[in-house]
Amino acid sequence: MVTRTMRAVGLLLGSVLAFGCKPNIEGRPSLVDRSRVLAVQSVPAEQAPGDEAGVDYRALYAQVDDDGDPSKVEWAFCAIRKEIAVIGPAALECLAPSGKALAQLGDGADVHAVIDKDDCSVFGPSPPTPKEGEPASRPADPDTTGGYYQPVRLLVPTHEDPDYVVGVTRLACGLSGATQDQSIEYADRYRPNENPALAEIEVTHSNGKKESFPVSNDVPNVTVASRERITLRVTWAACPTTSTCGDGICGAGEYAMDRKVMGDDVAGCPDDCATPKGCTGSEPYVELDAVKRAIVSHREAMRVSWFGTDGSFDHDRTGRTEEEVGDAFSENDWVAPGSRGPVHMWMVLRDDRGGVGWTELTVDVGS
Amino acid sequence: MNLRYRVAALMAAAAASWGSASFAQSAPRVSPPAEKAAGKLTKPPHLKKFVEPVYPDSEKASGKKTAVALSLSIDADGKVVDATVVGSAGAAFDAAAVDAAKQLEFDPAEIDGAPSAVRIQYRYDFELKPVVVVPTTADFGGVVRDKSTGKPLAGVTVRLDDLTTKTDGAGLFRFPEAAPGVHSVTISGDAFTPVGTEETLAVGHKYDATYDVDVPKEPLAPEERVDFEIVVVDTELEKSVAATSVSADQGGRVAGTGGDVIKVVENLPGVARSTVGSGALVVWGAGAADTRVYVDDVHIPVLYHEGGFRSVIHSDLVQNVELEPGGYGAAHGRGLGGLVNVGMRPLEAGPYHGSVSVDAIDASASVRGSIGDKFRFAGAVRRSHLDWVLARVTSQDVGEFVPIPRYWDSQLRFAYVPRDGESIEIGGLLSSDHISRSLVEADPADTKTEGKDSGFERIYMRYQRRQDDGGTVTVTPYFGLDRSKISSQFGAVPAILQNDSTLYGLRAAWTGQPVDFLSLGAGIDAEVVSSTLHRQGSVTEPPREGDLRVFGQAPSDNVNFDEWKTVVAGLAPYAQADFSLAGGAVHLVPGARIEPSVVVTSRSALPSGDLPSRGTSRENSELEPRFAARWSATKRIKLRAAVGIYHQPPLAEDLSSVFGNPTLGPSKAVHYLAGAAFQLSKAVSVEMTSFYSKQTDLVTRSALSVPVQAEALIQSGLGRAYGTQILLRHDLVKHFFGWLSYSLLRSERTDAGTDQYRPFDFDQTHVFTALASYDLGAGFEVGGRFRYSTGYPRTPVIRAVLDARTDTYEPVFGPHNSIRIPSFYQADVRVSKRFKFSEDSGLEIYLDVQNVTDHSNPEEIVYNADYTKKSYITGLPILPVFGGKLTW
Repeated sequence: MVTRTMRAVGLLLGSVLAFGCKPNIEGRPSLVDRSRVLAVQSVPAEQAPGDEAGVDYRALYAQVDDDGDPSKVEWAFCAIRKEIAVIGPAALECLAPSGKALAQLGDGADVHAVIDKDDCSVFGPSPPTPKEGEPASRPADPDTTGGYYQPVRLLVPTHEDPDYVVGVTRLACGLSGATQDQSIEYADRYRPNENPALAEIEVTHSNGKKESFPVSNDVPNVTVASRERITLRVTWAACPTTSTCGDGICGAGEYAMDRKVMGDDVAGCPDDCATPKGCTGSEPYVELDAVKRAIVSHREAMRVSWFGTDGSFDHDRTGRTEEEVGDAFSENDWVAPGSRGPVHMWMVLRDDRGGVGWTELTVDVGS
Repeated sequence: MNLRYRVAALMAAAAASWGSASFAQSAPRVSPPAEKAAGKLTKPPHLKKFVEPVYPDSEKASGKKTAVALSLSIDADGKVVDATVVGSAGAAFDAAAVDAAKQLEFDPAEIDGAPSAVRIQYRYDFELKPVVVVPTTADFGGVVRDKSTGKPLAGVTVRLDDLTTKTDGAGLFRFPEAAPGVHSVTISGDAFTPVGTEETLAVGHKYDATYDVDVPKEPLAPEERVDFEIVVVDTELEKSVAATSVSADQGGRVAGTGGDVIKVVENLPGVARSTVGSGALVVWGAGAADTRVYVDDVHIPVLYHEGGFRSVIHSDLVQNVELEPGGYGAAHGRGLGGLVNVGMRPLEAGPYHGSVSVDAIDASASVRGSIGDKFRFAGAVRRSHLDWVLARVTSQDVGEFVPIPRYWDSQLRFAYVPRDGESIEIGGLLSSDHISRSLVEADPADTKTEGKDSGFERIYMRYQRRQDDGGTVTVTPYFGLDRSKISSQFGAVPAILQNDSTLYGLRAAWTGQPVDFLSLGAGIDAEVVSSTLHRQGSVTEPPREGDLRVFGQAPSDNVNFDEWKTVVAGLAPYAQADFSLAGGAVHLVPGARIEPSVVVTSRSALPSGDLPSRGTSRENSELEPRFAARWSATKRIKLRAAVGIYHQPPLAEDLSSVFGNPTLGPSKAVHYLAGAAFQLSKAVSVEMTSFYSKQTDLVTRSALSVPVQAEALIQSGLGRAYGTQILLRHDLVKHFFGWLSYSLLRSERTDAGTDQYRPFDFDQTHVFTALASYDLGAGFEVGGRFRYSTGYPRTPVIRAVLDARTDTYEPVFGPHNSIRIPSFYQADVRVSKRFKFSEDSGLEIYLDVQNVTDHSNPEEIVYNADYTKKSYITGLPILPVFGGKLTW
């Protein structure tokens, strides 16, 4: 018979083996109790270096106090690659107000910039050709989606030390270590990333009542009771899970037919492989699998970051893995504060190729 | 004057020594016999056979120096036909001289060319001289005493190989003509189990040994009757200048070890306290991978199972464990740090014995015995069951969430002993570990899984022979497999490092003592490790020493992949001499080791498309001189010093063209140490050793933001460690043993691109351990341990940056390793009770309570999400472990 004491001993041992006791430390990222940047969006989300069209950057700035001023956000490109052992979004030299490593872009809540044409050699797979007698340089390692990024540094003044935020633009570069055929296949099949977008917010009250708000430029408003637990659900576009001719997605079979390397019995769809078309949900994409040494297909994993000026979310972030691509939504519970008043919420949707989208919600906490 | 008897010639005086007497033959005067007509002496008689006279016993007391003059009649055949005393020295001397003279033989004299009889004057000189002995043996004797009372033990059988004697009423024994060389000494008596040791005896030396035997008040079970402490005076051989050895008997009784003998290494001076759950062995500020571990002569990769709860060798098979933190001799190398030698218990002839033990963590069994006198065996097996226990006492499958170690190990040994002093042993050492956990979060990017599978197998053969001249020959070939797979997944970021190695090793050693003052040792230490590796994920995972990161920080999501093969081979001949000077008070031990090695890697450049990989190789040959000196300044004070050069080949994991550098060579260390040992009393000693270690060519991360291809790691790091350690030790006397150890040290490293030293990640300034055990009688024993250590250095987080792509904050660090985790201190208690069932069987139950004060020890620094607040992960709360061991 398993007694309570035995269970306690077991839990004790379990906690011991879980490396002692891990404390809960105050300061959850979902609570916005000061003005700060919550997200940075690059439009387009992915671009080839040197594209004269340039990139528009905008910050999701949560201004909740008088110290916040989005017009004072200072933008700069980080022009050097981080050291190989540094964990973080940018080289340490770029986390400064100024310096040789930084190319200033201007101030404000948004800026426009053109990505340097040599970025694929700095941040990407194409290191510069070495001079005679010099050893070759190491290409950058891609992220888990095969991506390379141009970091953009935001210096956000506060009443104390400034905040540093690093956003990115995914770089449309080639591959490192691929065969010629793989490079060609990748160039044909890869579609640049598109920023995801939230489609709808659904609120389920503790009494079961549901309210839905399609995402628009207007900020929806809901009313809840103090300390009420509500369930928030956000949805995004359901991108096709299988490639069909005419969807603009260049599937493996379509590509193969296009390249005329497969038999005639495979229906080809050359147009899908010629016209880039993205999706604001979990997009399919291809990358070079370093282990298989082959071009493989993937779907984007999606993550939602939840922010509120008061109350408490069950989770700071939620999301869907690549395998859960059929579920184009994510849920989180939020408990209203005990005090009355408005609470502002932000829901930020990210795909794992660096794309970002967001929406807002106002909650009136009543008695 | 008759010409035939005239003096014709002078014969050379002969002198010789014999027995206790000496004599001299006078210059004889020759004359012909009176009855013969005189002729011309053409050839004098020549002494052909000399016979020495015996110094009379009756005169030895006087020691008189005297002479007897004789007149000898020699016939034509050269025989002495008559001897007449013409100059007396007394009846006894006269008789001895006449007896000897009559046995003399000569080449006959010739007169006028024909053999003729003659008469000569002859004199024997008698002188009693000191005994002059050409020694061929050693005089080995001593006393056997009851350790607890100090009283001599009479009637105890002392066996020196095949020679046997018994102690007299004063506990004394003696083997006056013991052969030189290494001998097996066993001591047995009715009141205790035979105990044994080895002694090395030198020709002409007289040894006065003291054997203190712990005689129990009541007979113990066989498993408890082993490894009594033996203190040998005068014949002590010190293998290393700074080695600390602990017998199995003491090691298993230390609180906090759970009865694991080898766990006691953590309590020895010079060893940093490892983080709970790691089991890493950091010796004198060297990295865990820099300390080599041997089981007898077989190299094994780890000393402890994952989590550090248990060692990989069953305690019943262990005789002692020895830590040499540095400055060791030429017989070992390939490590920049220390050396751990686990000495296996000699296999003995006798009845079958065994044990079964179980506690909350694991269960084990051991058995040993012999088939006849020549075939002997021992074996043990152990398996963890903590996962099984937790599954039954918790309401959830905690194994999915916490890293519960799962392990097993086994050892098997078979020995054939064709004769005393010669043995052939075949054995196997097996160990396996698995540990894993999963932390599932609502955000898939925060979901973590971690796992590690590791293990090793060794098969070895050991041939040992003790030569008639006292020398020894040991040959140990071994073969093994090492495997390790670290796999983790931080969200979508994989981290896999798999290493499967095949290892071939050979250690062959000869020792001998060609002359009285010189001992020699020489041998070969060869090892070939062929590895196949697979690594996937971020360069930053697993982390390296010196990496800037905080505990629990997810690795970079910049990922890569590599598969590569390596062969690291070394064949090192070595030689060492031990000059024993000043009557053995001074030992000078020069040695040298030549370490030629080759490192072959299958890929020298980054993988690129269809290009075939091209391998690379690097050859090195390093000379490693070693020198040690010991001086027994007085009977109680010994001074010592040592210096040596050491090299360590690169790790196969570091030879990746993607994650490391395939052209890495050996790293180097120079050890300097000096110390003193004071024997304060029969049981209490204090040792102090100061050391300095300088390391060069250490492997570090490249500091370039865009490194050269295949140079993610470079070999420009420097290291240094220096400090002092003190060990105050009370040997097992009167049911008590214990020690206080304190280490004051500093270990530092440099990183690539800078010559500025910063604290080593595992630097601990102060490490203090106090432990004791006391036998209360009636089977009860109580022990305690207290540990204090400075916290490990950590790098402060001065601010954080929001990575807007992943919505995570990443830390920005201040000066490298400039803060420390708060100090650690903990008290442990162990209480045990032995029940005796019969003469040969019994049960021991114990309660080992770790952290008995439930002190909350910070083990790591953790931060909140945006690094604005920090706190500490604390270590073990009070942890009682109850267990039992049945022996028969």
